[in-house]
Amino acid sequence: MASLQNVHGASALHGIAAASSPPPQGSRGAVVMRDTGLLDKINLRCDAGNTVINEALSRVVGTRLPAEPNRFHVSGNRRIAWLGPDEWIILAENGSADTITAGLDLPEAGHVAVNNVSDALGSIILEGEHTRDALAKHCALDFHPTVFTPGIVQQSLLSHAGVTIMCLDDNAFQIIGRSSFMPYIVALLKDAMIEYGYEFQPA
Amino acid sequence: MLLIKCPFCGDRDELEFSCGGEAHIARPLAENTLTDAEFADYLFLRDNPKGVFLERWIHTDGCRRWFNVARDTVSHEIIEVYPMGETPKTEAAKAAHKASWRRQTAAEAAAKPASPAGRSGS
Amino acid sequence: MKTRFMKKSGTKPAAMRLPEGGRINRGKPVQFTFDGTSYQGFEGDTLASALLANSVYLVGRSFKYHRPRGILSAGAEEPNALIRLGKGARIEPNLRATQIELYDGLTSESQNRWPSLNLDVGAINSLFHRFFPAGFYYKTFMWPASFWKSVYEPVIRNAAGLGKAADDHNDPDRYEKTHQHCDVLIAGGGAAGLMAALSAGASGARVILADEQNEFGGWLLSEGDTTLDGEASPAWIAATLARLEAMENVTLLPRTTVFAYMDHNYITLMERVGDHMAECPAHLPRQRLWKIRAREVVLAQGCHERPVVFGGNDLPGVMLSGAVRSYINRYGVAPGRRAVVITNNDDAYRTVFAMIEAGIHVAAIVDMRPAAAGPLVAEAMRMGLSVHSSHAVLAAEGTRHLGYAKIARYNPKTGDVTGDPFYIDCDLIAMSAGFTPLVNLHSQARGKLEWDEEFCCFKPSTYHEAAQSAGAGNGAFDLATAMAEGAKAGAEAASRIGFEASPAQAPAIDAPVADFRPLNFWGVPSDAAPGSGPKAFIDYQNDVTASDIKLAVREGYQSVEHVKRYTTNGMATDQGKTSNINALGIISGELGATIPEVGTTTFRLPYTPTSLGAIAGRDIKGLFDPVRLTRMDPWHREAGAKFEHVGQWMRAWYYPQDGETMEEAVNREVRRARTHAGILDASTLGKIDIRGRDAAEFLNRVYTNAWLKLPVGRCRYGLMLKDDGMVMDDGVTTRLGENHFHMTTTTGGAAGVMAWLEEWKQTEWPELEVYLTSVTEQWSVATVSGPNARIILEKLGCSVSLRDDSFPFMSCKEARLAGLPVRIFRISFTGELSFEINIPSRLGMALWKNLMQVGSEYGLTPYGTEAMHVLRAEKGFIIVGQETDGSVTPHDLGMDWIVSSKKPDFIGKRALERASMALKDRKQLVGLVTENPMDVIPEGAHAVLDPNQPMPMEMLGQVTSSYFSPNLNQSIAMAMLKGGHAMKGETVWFPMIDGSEPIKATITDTVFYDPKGEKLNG
Repeated sequence: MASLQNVHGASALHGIAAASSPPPQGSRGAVVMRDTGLLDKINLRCDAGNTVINEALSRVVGTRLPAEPNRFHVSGNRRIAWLGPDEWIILAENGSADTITAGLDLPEAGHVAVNNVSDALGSIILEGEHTRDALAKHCALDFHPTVFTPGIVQQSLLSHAGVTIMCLDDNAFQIIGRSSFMPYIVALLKDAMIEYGYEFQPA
Repeated sequence: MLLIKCPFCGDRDELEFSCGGEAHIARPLAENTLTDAEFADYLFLRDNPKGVFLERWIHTDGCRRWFNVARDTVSHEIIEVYPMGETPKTEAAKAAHKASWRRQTAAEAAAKPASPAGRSGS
Repeated sequence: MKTRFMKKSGTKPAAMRLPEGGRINRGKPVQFTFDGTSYQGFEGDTLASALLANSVYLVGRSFKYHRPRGILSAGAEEPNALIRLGKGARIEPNLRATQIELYDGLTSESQNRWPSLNLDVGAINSLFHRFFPAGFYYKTFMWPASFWKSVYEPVIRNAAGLGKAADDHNDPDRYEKTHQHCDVLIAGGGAAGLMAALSAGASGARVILADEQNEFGGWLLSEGDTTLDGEASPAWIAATLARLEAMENVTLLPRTTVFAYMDHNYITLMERVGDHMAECPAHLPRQRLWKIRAREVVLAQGCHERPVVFGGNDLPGVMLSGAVRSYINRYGVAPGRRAVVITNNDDAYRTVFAMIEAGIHVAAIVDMRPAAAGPLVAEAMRMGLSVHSSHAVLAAEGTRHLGYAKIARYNPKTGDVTGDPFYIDCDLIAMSAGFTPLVNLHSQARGKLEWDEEFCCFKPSTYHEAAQSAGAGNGAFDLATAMAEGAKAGAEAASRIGFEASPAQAPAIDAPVADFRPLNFWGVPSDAAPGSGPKAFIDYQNDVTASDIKLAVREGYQSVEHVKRYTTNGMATDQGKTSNINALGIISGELGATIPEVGTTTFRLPYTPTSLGAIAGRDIKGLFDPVRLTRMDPWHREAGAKFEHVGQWMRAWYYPQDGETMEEAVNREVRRARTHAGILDASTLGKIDIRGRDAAEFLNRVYTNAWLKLPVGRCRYGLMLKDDGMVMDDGVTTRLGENHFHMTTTTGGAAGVMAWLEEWKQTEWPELEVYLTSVTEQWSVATVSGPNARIILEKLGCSVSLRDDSFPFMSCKEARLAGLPVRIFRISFTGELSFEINIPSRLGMALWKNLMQVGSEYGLTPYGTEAMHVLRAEKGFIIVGQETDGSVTPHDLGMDWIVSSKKPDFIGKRALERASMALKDRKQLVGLVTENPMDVIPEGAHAVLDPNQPMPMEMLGQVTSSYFSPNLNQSIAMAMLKGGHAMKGETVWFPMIDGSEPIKATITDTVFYDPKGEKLNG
């Protein structure tokens, strides 16, 4: 019997090679774009006011549901982001999904759906002074630093791909897209960042 | 391009939304005794007024939630955005809802009464 | 007279360049070519100013008559000087010389001439002008109808259009887009726009100020007689820009045209990032399209001057008065040596003084007003200039350049010439017939216009969007008023959206007091017999004359929109910027109606022509449309697979080996799947996780069959209908738990089905407790199918028994395969023993490689989508979208068995009961076997009962699927035929489009292979 138990698996960006383009004159520095690798992601559906789930989340993730639209909560390296009035996504380190889903599998919680979507979605983080400029080339959201501030998550289109965009820091954004769109998203952003210079770092 | 206020995500470009056509079309309950012609009012006939129109939109590339919009088809002014299952609040949109020929149809009478649901909301 | 022109010594500088002045950089000479000849200009020149500096007056031929044309204007309104710019793949036609910034090495060509600009054969059209009247095309190319395709259309197409695009279609430049939001967008950076920016900027609002020119300042840059705060206006502009640049909330966009204004303050701008450079740096786009959502808009676009309508007003040397002033003051160029001025307002006197200052002799001032007076007129008279009140220019004469003007006294009430004409030699006529506010953007945004009787122009009245106009674009031609309006509009815009704002302080202005009110007269003074005088042009670019418009009205066209289309007035690339009001004036005169009664045509976007490259942006080549790849894609590529597009997905189509043809490869794959085992990458199938107390009830409503009693761990095939009873999708759904289902959809239908289910859940049945989550890409799917399928999985190490008794057909188990977590579905789309293995997609490739490794011993063969199609067709399984087209019911497909008669309701139930659904002649799904087993009927072929009947033949329906079946060694097909279910055993014919022998076939059942389903268990 063959056993592949030690196979680690591949992220959605597996096979996209490291690449860079030097910052041209006038650029305030290259944008660094990196594959976040095998990040676990859990889609959670329930009422915002579900106390059983909120308490369970406090235990297993470390923070409760952000009830306010377009917000995410942070606990260490884990996050819970608003996706809709009864929908959230939990981001957590690789290998944690089973523990978290098990922790939320509570009969007394009522109408809840928890789905491990770690592999359905890919994720990249962009960092650098021109990050907002680069994203604005393909996304109609308002990226002004007084508007799209850290802690805000928005779903929109990055050209032809649906994405979830989180502002992590003044000049750092995380983009989550469907796995099969990630090569397109990376190609699109690399192209958009030529003006400023970029470095793409595989996981 | 219209600027549509998603009731959840806020103001977004029309590009992120899909229009689901006329709102408040009540689906006849299964036990109806409608004739084919009466059923066609529900199944096939859609309104296309000049002026205030109540229509359904979904924020396809955002939160994926449906909602109702009262829009003036001449000026493109969005008069009101209101949740699925509810009727409009503004006078102009209320009048449009009341004036629809559909309110008088047998198909609507055969639908579930005052449902909280959107398409059936009356 | 003392000449101030440069002496013509050597090649530089150019003859008509003034020795000083202008905003050109005399320290930076640049070389350029026009029609192959080299010239020199300076940085800061436009192509037009540099050509004029080099005494190049003839720059193009007109569209219809090929008349010689020169430079009319100094801006966006230019109808004549249209240039083919650049080399090779960078060639761009129809660019206005007045807006092309000069750079070193610029290459330009004139257009619409052959063989050369000076000797143009097409000019012969001019001699036949009587045959080119208004509506020429409509009158001429009417009969016979058969001539349209063969004669008229090719002739018209050859003659139509001005410039030619590049032969090489591979534009090497980059074009980009950006999306921005702002509180206040200001269109136009002249005096009013700058003031608006100061007001709005000081309030803290996010402001974008855009101007189409290389420098902000608008007409201030062209006025030599104006001081602001005691200094020449450029100093004030520089100081103002410095203040604006210091504001972090203000974005300045020079070289950026606001060209479209759409619903809800959505506005698009075109920034020419690299067009003014000899070489645009590779990291920058040549042009950038800005898509802006503004909360408030200030329109400060300024105005255009109107030409005076007289015979020969299109000769090179006849220019707009303001343009003459601009060339002198802004570009340091004298556009002529001896000028005549014709005007109906005061502004042209400022040009008179500028010309005299520049050393140009002003031979006559022809003032159309009955009694010209006022300080500027008095000043001209004091200077001893000959001012002819109540006079008009009847004609400008010359061959390729203006030679003299014919002038006479006329009656401004009737237009009749009342005195003997006299002639004045001149090489320049500066003309002004008043000013037209640029209401283009305001009108695009559906703002209303009102007629200003005093200034004879349309100006904005009410607004449809959150916008306001200021300055000359609002009819405020006086500088002080314009600046005050700008300051007020900027403050008003900011305060409307909650900022504390007040109008910025305007500078102290010292400028001549001019009366901008034009004479309200729209006739064409002429002493020639009607129809015989020289042509007086209204629309220069489309060669529409005053007589054309009069003729159109006489022929019964009264609506301005009809006159426009009949004469083509205002329909060229300049969209009537100089012609609109003059045409309305003539129409109103002919109809005896006022201009507001005649109305105006609708302004449409774009304001000026916009390159398709910028509109496409980066949506080209590899970025045009996302290509979705499965996790096993690299393996397929390495295996040499050919691919096909299925929606955005790329799926392995077939895997040719050792030079196999497609047919050979597909036949091999199809055979091996039935004799040994085949493996298919089915990852692209849509997958939806359905949970909640009402999940089974929800499925019961969206599928036609019964779902409430499906046991946990079992799978069921389902058919989904629209509420009109027509099939929309199918797939297998599995009950993973009491309240938990896993649905699969077709690859192409995945997104649509997810949206469909959400729609019903959210809008019709919100009371149902059910959540839907798309998990399509969470799972990679490898389908192993064939008699050896079980042993391959067993060899790989499966944690559950795969025997029939514990793992029967149509069931699902969670398991470990080779130690990896999987969900195995025992379902079959081939009719063979088949396992669909779902694995978290990060492990998809690892699983696939191991299946291939272990399976090679058992003949495991990868098969693509083509073999999948053949395998399912052998079994008579439908593909939604191939057998169905949105007009097919389950009964049409012979799938009555899947439609529950017991369920109270499901989507489509009531519609299936409609009388029309029971008609006997509905198209129904049947199988076909050809008489000659090697004949494969083309898909889409139409069936007839008698191939010898006369055309049009009575058609029964069409073939939906057709293949050669290697397992049956014969051709098989499925078709939708009228009343097909009652025709089993009958013969039908398929006439061939190429006239070859019709194919004869017999109608059969749709299941061709293993009708008893014995192979499902291996």
